[in-house]
Parts: sequence; structure tokens; C-alpha cells
Amino acid sequence: MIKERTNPGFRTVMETMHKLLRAELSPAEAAAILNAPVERVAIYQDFVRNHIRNALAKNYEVVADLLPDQEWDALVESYFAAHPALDFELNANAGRFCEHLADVGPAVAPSLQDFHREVAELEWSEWLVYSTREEIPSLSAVTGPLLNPTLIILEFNYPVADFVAARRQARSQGEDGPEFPAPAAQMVFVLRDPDSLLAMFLPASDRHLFAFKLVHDEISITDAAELADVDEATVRTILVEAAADGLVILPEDF
Amino acid sequence: MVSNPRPVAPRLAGLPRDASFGVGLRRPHFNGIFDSNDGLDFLEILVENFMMFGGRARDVLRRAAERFPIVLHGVNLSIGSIDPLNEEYLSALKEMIDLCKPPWFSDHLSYSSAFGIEYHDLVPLPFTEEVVDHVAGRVREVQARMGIPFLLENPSYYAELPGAEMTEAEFLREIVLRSDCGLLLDVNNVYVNAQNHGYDPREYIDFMPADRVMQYHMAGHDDSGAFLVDTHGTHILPGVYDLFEYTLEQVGPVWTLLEWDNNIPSLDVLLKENRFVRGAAAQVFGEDAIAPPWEKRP
Repeated sequence: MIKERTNPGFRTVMETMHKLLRAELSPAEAAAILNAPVERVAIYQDFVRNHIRNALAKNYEVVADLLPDQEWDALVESYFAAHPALDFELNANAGRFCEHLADVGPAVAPSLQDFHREVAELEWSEWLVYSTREEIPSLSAVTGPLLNPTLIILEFNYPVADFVAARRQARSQGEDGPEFPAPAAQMVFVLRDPDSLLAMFLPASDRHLFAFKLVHDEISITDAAELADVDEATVRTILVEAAADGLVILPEDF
Repeated sequence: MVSNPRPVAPRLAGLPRDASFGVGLRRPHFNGIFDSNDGLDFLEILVENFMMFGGRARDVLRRAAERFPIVLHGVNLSIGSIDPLNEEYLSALKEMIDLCKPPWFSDHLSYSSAFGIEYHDLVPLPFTEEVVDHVAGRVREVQARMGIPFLLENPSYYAELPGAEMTEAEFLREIVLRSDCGLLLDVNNVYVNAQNHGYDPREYIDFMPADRVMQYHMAGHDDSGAFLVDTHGTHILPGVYDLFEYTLEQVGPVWTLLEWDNNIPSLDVLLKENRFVRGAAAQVFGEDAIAPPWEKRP
């Protein structure tokens, strides 16, 4: 027994470190098994927890900013305990946070509302769009109107896109930002800008939805004009506007 | 550009081995690095920052690979883990190698995952014969599968795990020789570990197999009060520069990478630090041996 405490085998060392890093052992408990100074063992627990903390703070910046610090910390701790990191790409391990907010709810963070969960969903979708391996085809390779292949469509019960855009602008200028909005249904397109390759989002306007349906359902411009009772030039203008917003990709000679 | 005249291990023969200097490609510098890169002979790509990403990151990586010589460096290979090698990771790493065509790739003598869980940090290994055998076998496998030489890096560590049968230097040297890989010598890590664990950093350098050293890392560290922490978040400190100059005298010039991963500064600050690193080499090899720009550190 004494020998095991002073000279544990490779697997035992790894198991002890694993429990420490998962916060299933305190640094003092792990240090006793590893025969190492507590502060030098504790630093590893801090490192691992902080990686997840930072990944959540980076990917859910608006949600973190909206909640009281104590409640955000409680959400991070509960997430770390409930969702061990399974992916070697650090940010990917933040992907279950929306689900976690729904699971724990106000029991962990009393200020948490459905609105926060929708903001979280928008923020995570921005990350998915930024990181996806989907490639936007070059215009010379496009023969007809295409939807942006990085597109994610979100449906919210609050005007989340308007709120997040206004909030970010206000915070960048050192201001508090808008009040929580009243419920109002909003559809949002999240996509990679074909030029900058950065993620962006658009509240879906009627003209966006028209362009989306036309391209998605492969409706010809002539048929679309007839169905909508507008002239073909109007349809083409709507498509050009949607292309300027990154929603659709048009051939060079469109 | 002064070449290293010293013998090199047969597996590593023919690879670049000279006084070249570079920095890591970091997101805040995605725009600037293509216009402002004086003194950068190569870039190091932290593979986890790119391997799973499309879009802007992939676009910048492609442009960087066209413009600069590239070396690949990782933190999540988890070469020391008892888990099987991560096939998804290896597949993504091979894709990066095919895209960037580096002369070598590197990762740390540690592990970053176990029991199916990722830690995203470098966890130390016990310095035992059992672990030497285990890691050397995995290095050989990874090196064979990737098709280019692998460099093992000496990591910083804060707690020496129980049951050690050899010193840190003996542990690293034995694995490098037994697995027939190269060595990425992190000079800052030698300095930090020597301070934290009470050994002579120059003896450590002297004990390394010089014919395996293909790259250096230089970085900043912080003092927690109780021990030094390898943060890569500040300027390189004078003691590390002194050890770097000693290392250059003993081992000779190889590609030297300035790491700055936290509190990432402006490109101007990064390039200035790189000029100091070049200046340290000029101090050792002579001002005519190191191409400008370089500066003597204050």
C-alpha cells in the first residue's frame, strides 16, 4: 500500500491526473497520491478548466456579457462537469452549450431566459459558419444561381439578430446597448461572406425569402415573375441584391 | 544565412539546418503578415488552429504556404497517452502536411488526452522505462504514417510525477534516439524547467543529442511567485536569451521560432522581438553571418 502511494504505475498516474483534470479529485487529494506539491498539481486543473471557460467566453460573448458574472461562472462550471471535452479542436467542445442552457435553465442561472438561449444559438451558428469546410464556389465555376453553401437558417421567437447587432455596436462604443426586446418572430440567415470569408447574419426580409425560395426550388426567373406577378427585371434585381448580401451566388455573366 | 556544420542523424540528412528565423501564424496577424514580414524566413503553423477549418483560416493557410516555408507544430497529438492514436487527428494532420509540404512536423513529449477525454493542455509523463518504450513506439508509428520526419519537443512541466527512473534529460534523449526522430529544443522550456526543478540548464543542453536538433523554440514566461510558468505571453527574458546563445554555441544554428500565443502583440512588436532573436544569433556567429534585420537586445 505504501509502495503504491509513493511509486504508482503509469496507468495509476494517468488515472489520478485524469480525475484531477476533470475536477473529480481536489488538487490536495491528487497531490497526496502523486507525492507532488499541491500548487504544482493545481495549476493543471486550472489550465484545463480555463481552456473550456475561455472557449465558452469566446464563442458566447454576448450571452456571457448579458448574464451576471456569478451566473455565467455557474453555467461554465456546470457545463464543464456535464460535458467532458471529446473533440481535439477546442472550440468544438463549446458546441453543446445551447443544449446545456436548455437542460439546466434557471436552476443554475436564475436570470436565464429563452431569449438568452436564442442569442447563444445565433452565436454558435456564427462559429459553425466561420469554421465550416464548405467552400463557396468561384463565380467562374457557377452556371446558375446557387444558395450560399455555408448558409444556416434560424427561426427565433425574439428579434435576436437586431438585438445582437445593436448590442455589439453599442459595446464597441463603450455603451450599454439595447434593452431586452419583446417577443417577435424573426428568421435569420447566418452565412459566410463570399468576399471577406467572415461569418455574418441577416434578418430575413421578404425579398431575401423570395430569392431563397427561387434558388432553393430552382424556379426559373420567368416562372418566378409570373407566380409573384412582377416583371422579370424585378426578379433579377432581387437576386442581385441577395447576391450582394451573400445569400446567393450568381454566375459572372448574370 | 549560416548553415550548421555539425553532423546530423541519417534520418534528418538533407533537411534545412541553418540560421533561419520565424514566428507562428496567428489570427490577429492574418491580414498584416503578407505585407509586413521583414526578418521572417519561415512560419510555423499550429495545426490545431487550422486543421478543422475552412473559410478564412484555410484561405490564409493556402496563401501562407505559397509565400513562406512552413513548419507544422501541434499540441494535441497526445503522443504519450495510453489511448489509441486519434485517427481523425492523424488524417487531418496528413492533410495539413500534404497542403503545406513542411520539412518536418513536431509535437510535445507529453499527453493531452486520455480515457477518451481531451484536456487541451500538455500533461507530463513519468520518467520511466515503461513510458520510454510506450512513447518511442508511438513516435515511430506516427513518423512512418506521416511520411516526413517528426520532431519531439521538450515540454515545460510543473510537477515531477512519481516513480522516476531517470532524469528529464535522459527521458527525452532516450525516446528521441530509440524512436529515431528529431528534436525540437524549446530553450525557454529548458530554462523554466531548470528553475522549477533545480537543475543546470547548460548541462541539459550539453546532454541533448545535437545531431537530432532541427528547430528551436524561444518564448516568454511569467513568474507565479512560487514557480515559473511557460505562458508564451510576454517578451523573452534575458536569462533565456543567454541560454539561447549558449545553445547556439553548443549545437549550432537551426530554424528558430519565436512563440507568442497569449496576449498576442501587434505584428510590429512581434517582428521587433524576432529581430532580437536574430541579434542573439549574430552575437554568436558574427554580424556578417546573420542576414539583417537584427538588433541587439537592450
